[in-house]
Amino acid sequence: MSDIDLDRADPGFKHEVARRRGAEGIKRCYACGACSARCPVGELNPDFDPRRLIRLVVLGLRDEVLSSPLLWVCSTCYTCQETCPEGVDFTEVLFVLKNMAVEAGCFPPTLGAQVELLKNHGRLYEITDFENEKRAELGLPPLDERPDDFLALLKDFQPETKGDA
Amino acid sequence: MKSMAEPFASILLLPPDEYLAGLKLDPERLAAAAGGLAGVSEVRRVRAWQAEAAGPLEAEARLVLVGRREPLPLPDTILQFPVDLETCMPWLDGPAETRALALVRAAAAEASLSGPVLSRVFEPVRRVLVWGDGPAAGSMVERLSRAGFPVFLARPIPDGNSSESPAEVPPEVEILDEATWLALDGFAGRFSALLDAGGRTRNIEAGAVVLCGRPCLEPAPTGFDFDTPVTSLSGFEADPKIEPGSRLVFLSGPGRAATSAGMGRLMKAAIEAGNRTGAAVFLLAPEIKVAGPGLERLYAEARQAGVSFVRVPASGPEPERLGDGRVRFAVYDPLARARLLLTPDRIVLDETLRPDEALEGLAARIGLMLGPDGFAAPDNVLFLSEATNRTGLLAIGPARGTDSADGLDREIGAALDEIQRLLAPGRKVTDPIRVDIGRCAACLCCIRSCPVQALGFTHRPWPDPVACARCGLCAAECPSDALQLEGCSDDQVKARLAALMDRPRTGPDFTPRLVLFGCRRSALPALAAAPRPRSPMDLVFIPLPCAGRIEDDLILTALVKGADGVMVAACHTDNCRTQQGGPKARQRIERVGRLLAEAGLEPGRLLFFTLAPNMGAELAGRTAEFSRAVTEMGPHPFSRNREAS
Repeated sequence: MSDIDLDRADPGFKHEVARRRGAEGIKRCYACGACSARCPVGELNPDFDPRRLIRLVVLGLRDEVLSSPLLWVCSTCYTCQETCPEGVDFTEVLFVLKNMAVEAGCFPPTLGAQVELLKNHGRLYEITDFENEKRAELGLPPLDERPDDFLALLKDFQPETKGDA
Repeated sequence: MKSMAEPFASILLLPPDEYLAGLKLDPERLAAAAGGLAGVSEVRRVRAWQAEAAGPLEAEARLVLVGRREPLPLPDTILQFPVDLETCMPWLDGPAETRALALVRAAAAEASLSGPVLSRVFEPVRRVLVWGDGPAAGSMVERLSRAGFPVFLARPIPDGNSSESPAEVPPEVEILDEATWLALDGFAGRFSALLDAGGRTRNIEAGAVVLCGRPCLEPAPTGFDFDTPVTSLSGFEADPKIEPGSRLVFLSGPGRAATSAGMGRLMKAAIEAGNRTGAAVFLLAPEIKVAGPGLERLYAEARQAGVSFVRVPASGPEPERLGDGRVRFAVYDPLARARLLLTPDRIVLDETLRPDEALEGLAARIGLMLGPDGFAAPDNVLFLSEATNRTGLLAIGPARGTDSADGLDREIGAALDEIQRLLAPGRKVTDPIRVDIGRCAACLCCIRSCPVQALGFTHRPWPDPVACARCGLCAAECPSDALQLEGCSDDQVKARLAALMDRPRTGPDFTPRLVLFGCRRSALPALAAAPRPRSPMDLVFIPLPCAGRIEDDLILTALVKGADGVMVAACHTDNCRTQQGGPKARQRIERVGRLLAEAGLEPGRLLFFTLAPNMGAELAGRTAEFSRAVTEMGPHPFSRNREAS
């Protein structure tokens, strides 16, 4: 990573994050690294480091954090959350950061594709005859594609990819 | 009372039979053999170890306590010589009874060579002299006065930079203002201080002296040269204005770590600043100390308040002068894995105590040893709270670099305890050192070598019984053996060596006979805790009150008496009660090694090392390694010749 110019940092960012439900504990972090040490994703992708993401939030690097593709690689295994001695719910913090990223229009293109699938099928995959035949063999009723419930939830949310995510 | 010419005989106390059986010793046989030892007048067998176990005793009886580590709670006119069979026996070679008897014989010989105990009553001066000003001196004076001690407060000439508020003192306290300290004679319990105030000298008798000094706070010199405003913490506290949206940097150091109290103040100011909206607050420090009351809470509060903590190198963040004259700091942040660039709008420097300017000159005049940072606290873990190198000369608060209220409170309490102990009326004292006036050449080596400045000199050296630490450094240093430490004289050490070395060698295989001279504070507990030797071992342990008590003569005596290798174990240097004992022991063993090398003896037969009391495994490992090395060298030439002749 190149130099971080703290003159352009936003000192209010960490407070903004900490006000959101689930991320209240973020300012308690004293960077012990217990989360980073046990993160299975970090093991495969050293760039993903919970402690580092918290550090960037605390330093007020709003744009760097919200546009980072790293927000989206978490497997939500909750190991970090179980491990943290200070009660920083990092998995929840990531949900907050992802929501803030989406609000700022930053999310990966696959997220757009997933929303499209949900809009069209109400699921993350399309129900075909293949699935329903398998279900019939097992004595299960066929599934309808009814995206209405989901569309009601989605309301007028129209994702458009911005940023480099 | 017995005359000096008559040898002193001891009563031997044998432990309960089960105890001896546990050490594979036959109580009957041991009792019979011990009864025949030189210097033993009587053998008594005890059922359980209590003060009464010894039975009826004369006022000046000598006891050899077999199978004890500690003396019994008996009057101090009764000399006691414990024989720690459990610790020492496993390290010796040969049948159990031979080993036990050698240890008993050694103690009996030591006992018979102890001088008579001459105890007298010492009445200390009750007055306490307090030097300094400010809240620390005020509290100390008040506590002493409340405890019933007459107090004399000497307030030094104000120091230009000190941020002092004069001490408030009870009306009964005598005060000398603008005092300069000229000299300090005498010892704990009866000091005599010569003070000057405005050209008039005063001689103050005092039993104890407490140096409080004055609080002198100042920021570390930064060498900064730029236009960004820099203020001290006191300056910021007086004028905490912050522009909205500005960047405020609290900087600890550079070049030194903040004290706990200093860090606490810095964090409080940062929290205050962080809680106002709009300012970006950074705290740059080489380390965040949280091991003090309330500090961890302050650290958590600071993070809640939005203070960003950035770790910087001990030398401080790298400053860069920008085109507009302001400074920009660059710090590599391992957490963010990037270099952070920060242009502060205002910099606040932390402050720590610096030593009072008067302290350095004062130290030389009153025999006070200053620590590496210039405060009156030796760099040694055993000198906590209030102690200095001199008994009865205490240092607290700003004089020893303590700036926190709780630290000061603890030190005042410790000082008061020490003064109450020291100045208790009707204290019984015994002379620690025997001085042979006929031998003394008045060379003053003893006075120079005393780590606690406990020797006076009038025609001959006078060890002070209250101030003396009984380390024996003076006796070891004396070139004419005019000084002998009671309980550990040259004769006593040599008698112990003779008793323990005079055992038949066993086995067809060569097991080297080793001698370990070790400090009672570290080597003795380490040996007691050490795992038992697994291979054949023959180690004679000679406890010394301090490793610095070792002399060339004693090392050579061990070799002459048949030692194949000699070890000297001292405490770690920063953990040495006398602060000089370890280094002196090292010097001596190295010197003897050089002499012996010239005589053709392998230098590897001598070994010096340092220990902590809990390093039993280390001691066992060292000893096994040394034993192996000496085995390879074979019996040393003196003993080879002796056996051949």
